[in-house]
Amino acid sequence: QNIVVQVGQCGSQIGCRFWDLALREHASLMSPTNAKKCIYDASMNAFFRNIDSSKNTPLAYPSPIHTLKARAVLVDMEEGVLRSILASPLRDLFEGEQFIRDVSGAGNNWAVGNRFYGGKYRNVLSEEIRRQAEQCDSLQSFMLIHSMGGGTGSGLGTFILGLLDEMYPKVCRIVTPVYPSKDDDVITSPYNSVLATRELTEHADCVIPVDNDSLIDIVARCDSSSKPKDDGRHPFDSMNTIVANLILNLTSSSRFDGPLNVDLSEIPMNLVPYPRIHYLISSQVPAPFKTSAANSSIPRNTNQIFRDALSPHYQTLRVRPQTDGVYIACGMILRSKTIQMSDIRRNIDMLKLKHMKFVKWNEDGWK
Amino acid sequence: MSCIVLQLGQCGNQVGQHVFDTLVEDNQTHVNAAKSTITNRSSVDEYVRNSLDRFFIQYDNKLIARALAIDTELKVIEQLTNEKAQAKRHWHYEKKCVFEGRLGSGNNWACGYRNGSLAEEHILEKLRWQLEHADRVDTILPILSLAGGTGSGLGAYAVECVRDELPRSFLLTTIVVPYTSGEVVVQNYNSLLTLSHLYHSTDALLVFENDILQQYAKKLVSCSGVDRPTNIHDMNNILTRHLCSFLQPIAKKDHSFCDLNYLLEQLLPHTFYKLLTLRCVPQLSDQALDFSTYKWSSLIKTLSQMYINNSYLDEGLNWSLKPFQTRTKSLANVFLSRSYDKEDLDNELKQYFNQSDFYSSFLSPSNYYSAFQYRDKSYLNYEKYLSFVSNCQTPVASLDRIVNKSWQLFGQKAYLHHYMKYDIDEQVFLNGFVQIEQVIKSYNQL
Repeated sequence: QNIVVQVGQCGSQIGCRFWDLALREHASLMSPTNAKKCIYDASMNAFFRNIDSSKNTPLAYPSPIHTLKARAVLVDMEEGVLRSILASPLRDLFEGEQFIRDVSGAGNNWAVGNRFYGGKYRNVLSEEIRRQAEQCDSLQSFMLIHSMGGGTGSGLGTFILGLLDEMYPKVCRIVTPVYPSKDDDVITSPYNSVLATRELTEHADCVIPVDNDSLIDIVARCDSSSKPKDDGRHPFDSMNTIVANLILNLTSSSRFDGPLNVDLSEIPMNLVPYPRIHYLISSQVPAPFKTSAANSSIPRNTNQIFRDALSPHYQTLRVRPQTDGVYIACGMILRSKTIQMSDIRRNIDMLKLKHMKFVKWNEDGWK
Repeated sequence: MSCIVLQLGQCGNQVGQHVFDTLVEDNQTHVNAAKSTITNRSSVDEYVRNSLDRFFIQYDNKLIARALAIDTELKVIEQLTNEKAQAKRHWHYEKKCVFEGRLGSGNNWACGYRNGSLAEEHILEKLRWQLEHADRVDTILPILSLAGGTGSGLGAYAVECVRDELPRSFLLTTIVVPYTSGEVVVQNYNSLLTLSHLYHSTDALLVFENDILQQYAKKLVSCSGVDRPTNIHDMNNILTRHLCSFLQPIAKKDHSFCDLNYLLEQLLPHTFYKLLTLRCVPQLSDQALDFSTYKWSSLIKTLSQMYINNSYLDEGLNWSLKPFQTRTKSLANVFLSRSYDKEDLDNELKQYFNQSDFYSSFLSPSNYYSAFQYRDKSYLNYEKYLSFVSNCQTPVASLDRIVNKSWQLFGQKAYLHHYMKYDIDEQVFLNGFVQIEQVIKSYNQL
């Protein structure tokens, strides 16, 4: 099982999208008409608990779905976002104790988030996390979502990371922090990001940084339904969808079966050669938006999927590893009904030959 | 005399399931039923009885596989024991012999090894259940892959436990060597550690390589006329077909059935040389079978050329190579031929395989090879099938590759912290290097 911890405004919003998408994914696997087929099974067990709300007892899987509760902890020091979650259709997913909140906010100050609120809410946080963890029989990872620019997300988020490291050192901690864009509206965001990055290097097992700039690019290129807004606001909804999809797809192989399964712990195992070098670049092809005729991200053939995955256009971080850098290791997770092993083999060989420079001691660093 | 199969990890479980399917399928095919005379029938019945007794527990009308299915993730085991899937087959797994963990081993050999030590009691308990339901167990057949975490790590631990528990049984481990170009980044570490631990617990290692299986599968699929990419299912198919041709009952010259142990004894003259390879002819896709007939002499000639070329496939062979240019030397060979006709292969075998160049210098000609045959029933749908098991230098190339790549990574101390988390430190790695290098050297000296 995995527990999702969403901190701060950015984290909460991405988290909401994530739960929405997760429910949709599982719903699409079940037939909507036949109620008997809606079963709470092993794959749902990864993120949800099934509770018989009349008796308030948890049901083990497989069992028919009664009330689903998410395995999550939602933390925010301002009321606004959490209140909107409670007003939204997702409110049934969460129990009251899973919300940890305060009123005044952290004022875009890492120190306030980390030291002040950390100290104040340390016990409450550790209690709630322990409660969630006890409801799992084999906890595999914590997934932390927060932003790096603000106060709560970066400060309190990294405090929680340290707490998780202390309480559960053997459980994998995967963090998807959102780095601020170049023209961010928070002035102290560089300070916050740097202080938070240090904490990430120390305590996280695996960090998949996400950049607002590249998300905007992907949305602009691929989502034809969101027209560029004249008032300069970012299409946050679509951007959050991308990140939520990322987290969902990472865990997809540990939830659903296939000919070659990839467990969540295999990702850090294979891609992190040294404990502190755990920053991964991720990209998704095709970009997860509703298909429309103008959606140019749908690849035209199988080989193109692989090429696109390595192109900087689909990355969630603005870097160019193919031209500027050297790869240490690379991993691919494929969800498809039609792509087979030989396609993968062929493309990996092609890509290695032409486009990618691997570090000399790990020429075959593929997963 | 029965054999127990240990399916370890995802690869082991998928292959193991297929093995049992293929065994049952073979027992039910009777090509050219018109040819079966009365004597034939009883002999075939004895064959089927022998095979079923070896691999299945039979009672009432049900067949229970003599197997342990062990994995640390739920998904593959769930597929195996799925109600719907079981109903389609004639046999099933005993629930008591299935062990599944929850967390997986994360491609980490050290994690798998530790999972093994935690699961030791359970595994031994299930093994004992199987032992109680068999009259006499001669061979244990673990099946595992070298790249992952469970098959390699837990598998190595399990094989060591089984060796401690049953010191006098034969352990024939089937291993699958991963793709050269990498399917898991730390596969070389995992393979190295597994091989070094397995080498002194097991009696023989039957080596299959994913690269070769992929090529083979591609050839078969392209020949079959259907244009589709090859998948893991195809590769598993080939592996099990080869493996079952070795596992099914076979008879000596005097028509008495012999045990698997007898075959293995012929193949392992020295305790230090344990690597076996399996080459089979003919290599056809299912569709082509109905249209092809072969003569034994052509099959044997192809086989000898494959051997000289150090290859597993009968394509792309350099036919101009003569026996003294052979690229591999062997310590012992065994031929298993299965068909309907009554031909004797001795002359042809002598012509092609009695070359002293093929064998290492300290062997005497009478020990070069042994031939076994079963003449009353064909194998699956093949009219003639010849399997060639040999204890030769062929797998050493892949071992060499594994060692070199691991040494590169080890020199940079990359990925070691994952193993150190479970108390596997540099000394274990170094021991592994030393052992495998010794194996490579002794094979190269043949």
